[in-house]
Amino acid sequence: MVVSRVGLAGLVAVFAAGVWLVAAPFAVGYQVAGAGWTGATKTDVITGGLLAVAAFAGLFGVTAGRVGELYADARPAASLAATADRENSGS
Amino acid sequence: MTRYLSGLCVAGLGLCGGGWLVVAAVAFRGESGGRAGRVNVLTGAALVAVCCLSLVCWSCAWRRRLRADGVLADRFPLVSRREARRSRRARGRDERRTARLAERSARGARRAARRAARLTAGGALGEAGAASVLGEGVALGVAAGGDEQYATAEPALAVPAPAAAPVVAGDEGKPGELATELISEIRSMLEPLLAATGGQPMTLPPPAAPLPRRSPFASDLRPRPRLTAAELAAPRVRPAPGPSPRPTPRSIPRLAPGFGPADTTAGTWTGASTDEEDAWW
Repeated sequence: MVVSRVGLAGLVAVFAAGVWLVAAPFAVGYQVAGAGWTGATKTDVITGGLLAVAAFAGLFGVTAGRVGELYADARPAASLAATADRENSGS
Repeated sequence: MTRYLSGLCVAGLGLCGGGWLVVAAVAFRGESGGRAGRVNVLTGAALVAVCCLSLVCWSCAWRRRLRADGVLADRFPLVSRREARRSRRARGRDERRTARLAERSARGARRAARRAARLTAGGALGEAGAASVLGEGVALGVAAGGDEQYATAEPALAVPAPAAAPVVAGDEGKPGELATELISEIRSMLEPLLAATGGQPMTLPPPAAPLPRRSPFASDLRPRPRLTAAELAAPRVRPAPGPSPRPTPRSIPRLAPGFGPADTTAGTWTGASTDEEDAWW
């Protein structure tokens, strides 16, 4: 459980790093507003964008996987409960 | 599995991105300038560290899950190989010993059964022999071979009987005497009862007459007055139909002759049977 949470925190950190990389040239000021993008700006924005999108997709995938596991765990219990109900109503 | 794969992929991608940022900052040092290079290096290093940690965590979580599902074997078995070998040998030894004991007891049981069969086939069982083989309760009910009443061509069969049951046939007395004794005992017990009742058989009271029920045949059950022959021969005159000025009170019919008025005991019914009575019934 703790391990999964640490992994999830890593994903969030990757997403934050991507967002930071996209915003860094303008926030730090090595990209002048109105001028053409330098090579460093292009590298940071492209890399940051990719990382942010990937991290978002990863977070979505992790959440979807967790929900799917919960559903899979609940299905046998639900079928057992339905069987018990059927037996009770039959007898 | 989806979540672990997603985490691992994103962590790997972040690792690649962090590495690219570091490499780019170092490779294009002159182009990116001072602040941009520093930001890229720091961000890339942090990204690499975080992604390495995330990668390890996701892989550990996946391995743990696989182990819990039984896909992966335990890394450290609970019992060492030497101990497992030793316990396996001990288990085999126990199994062999148990099998040997079972075989020995089965052999003993077969031998006892053979001996019992030989004794049975050898002739009639005496009481002592029967008691020794079949038990005390069984031996009491066995008739001796010499008894005239129970002696047959076949050997006597052992009949299970309770130990406290009276022996009717035996060496102690003849069966007729015992039966006579029993009957006399029963008579002596019943004599006070006979004296109390005066020697008369007990009579049950006659069953109560069933109550009449209202049915189409109820009027047939109703007691009729005993009419004379002249009254029977005379035609019955019905009153003329019309509104009667005063309603005739309804009389309650009688159920049985015994319950009627006193003059009915003479044999004639004085109460007039009217149509209202029939209607009541």
